[in-house]
Amino acid sequence: MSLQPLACIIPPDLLAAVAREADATQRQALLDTLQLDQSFRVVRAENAARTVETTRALTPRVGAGTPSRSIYDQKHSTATTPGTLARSEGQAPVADVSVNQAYDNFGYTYKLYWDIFHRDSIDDQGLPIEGLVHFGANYDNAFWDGAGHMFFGDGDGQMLTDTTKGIDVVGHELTHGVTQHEANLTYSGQSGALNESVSDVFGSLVKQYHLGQDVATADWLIGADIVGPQLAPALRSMKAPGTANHYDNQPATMDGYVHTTSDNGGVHTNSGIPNHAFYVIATTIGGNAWEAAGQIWYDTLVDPRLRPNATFSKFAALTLRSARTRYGASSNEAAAVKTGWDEVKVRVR
Amino acid sequence: MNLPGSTGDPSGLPDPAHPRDMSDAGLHVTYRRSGGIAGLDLVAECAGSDLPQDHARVARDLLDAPADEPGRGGTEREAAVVPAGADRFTYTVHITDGTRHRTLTWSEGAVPSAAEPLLASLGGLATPQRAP
Ligand SMILES: [Zn+2]
Repeated sequence: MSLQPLACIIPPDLLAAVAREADATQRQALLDTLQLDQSFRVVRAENAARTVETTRALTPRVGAGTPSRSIYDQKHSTATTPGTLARSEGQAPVADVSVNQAYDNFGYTYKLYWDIFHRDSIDDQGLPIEGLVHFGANYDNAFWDGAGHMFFGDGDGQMLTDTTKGIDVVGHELTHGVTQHEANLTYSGQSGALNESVSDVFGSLVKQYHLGQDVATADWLIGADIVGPQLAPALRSMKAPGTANHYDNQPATMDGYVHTTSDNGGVHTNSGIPNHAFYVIATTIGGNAWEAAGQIWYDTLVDPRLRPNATFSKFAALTLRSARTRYGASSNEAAAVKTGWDEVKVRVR
Repeated sequence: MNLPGSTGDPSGLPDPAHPRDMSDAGLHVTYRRSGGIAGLDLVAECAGSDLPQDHARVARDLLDAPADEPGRGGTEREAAVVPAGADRFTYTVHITDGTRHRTLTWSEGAVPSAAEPLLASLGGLATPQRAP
């Protein structure tokens, strides 16, 4: 199976046309305006840089602010097309706990993106959220298929348990969709580790926002609700990478960067480095992580300068740029960003 | 189950009197499943003679198949595999008969159906390992 770049369809919007014709200064102002009203990617499409672009409007979708969820029961099949529709948007809970957990956790994920970043679903255009539960037999995984579907296994009870139970896991998977529609970070090497880290960061923020936890009360663990005894207490720790379970060997700094051919170049291993940078930045700023630190990460993720093949250093430089743009060059937030990347030994350039 | 280029018993039926094929002597297979949201590596290693005969035959067929065999799938350079989506498993098998060696990698969802029983068999033997 190969990546399937979609046709780049650019809407003939006036603003987009203006941006195309504008000089550099005007263009930046337009970009900033569009970014603020969350229509950023219309202009970004003008940069003709992304593999996934869809027609998008400059005004909010009717019904924006409400997700459109469908949860399908795969009944332990490994079929990769949706199975039996078990619960759709607005319907009451059903008997199947996994269906309800997926439904609820997608709801919390949508809510973080909408409330905090004014993003309307995966594509910011209200893309229906499709979760496929009970995938496979004792399947120890959850994944994003690159085509709008999120799959959840029941786990074998030893490594993993029902993966729909993890609010951060559901947030992690949906965020892979967001990333694909934004920076489209290539799933290999450093850009792949960034892709993974972005999913952990926003997955953790979904959980923290839902639970009302500030940076001091959050546990900064990923997957604590879905691990079985073999991987307890969690899959990963953003606070202390490499300590989450017996098999966890995530590095926290570039000194421990793992060069491997496994897992597309250790994308779930080296993600510990940007994960820990985010943790340091969020805790240095203090308060709620989804506010300043989360905003800086979100601004970076939707920044057209973030290329699919971005390195840690390039991503770091763009987070610093985002912090300076939003909070000021001499702000505490910008200083915290510099501190975070210094701590994990990523050069900001 | 036989892949193009197979030299194994075309019947595909296990012989109850001789459940292990003598042609599997020297055949050795290692297996790694990496990735998934847990990022956990599972590994297994076994002699061809320890595999069910039909699964050992799949391994031998994979070893025998020409490098450009379309039905073989996979790639011999893991770095070349960039899967669609995220958090999918990556399977890597190394097969040798003592003389020839072949390493094959597939992303989950791109595993040729002929290789699926072998991967299932090896997956059943695999145990977690701290990622390298
Ligand atoms: Zn992931």
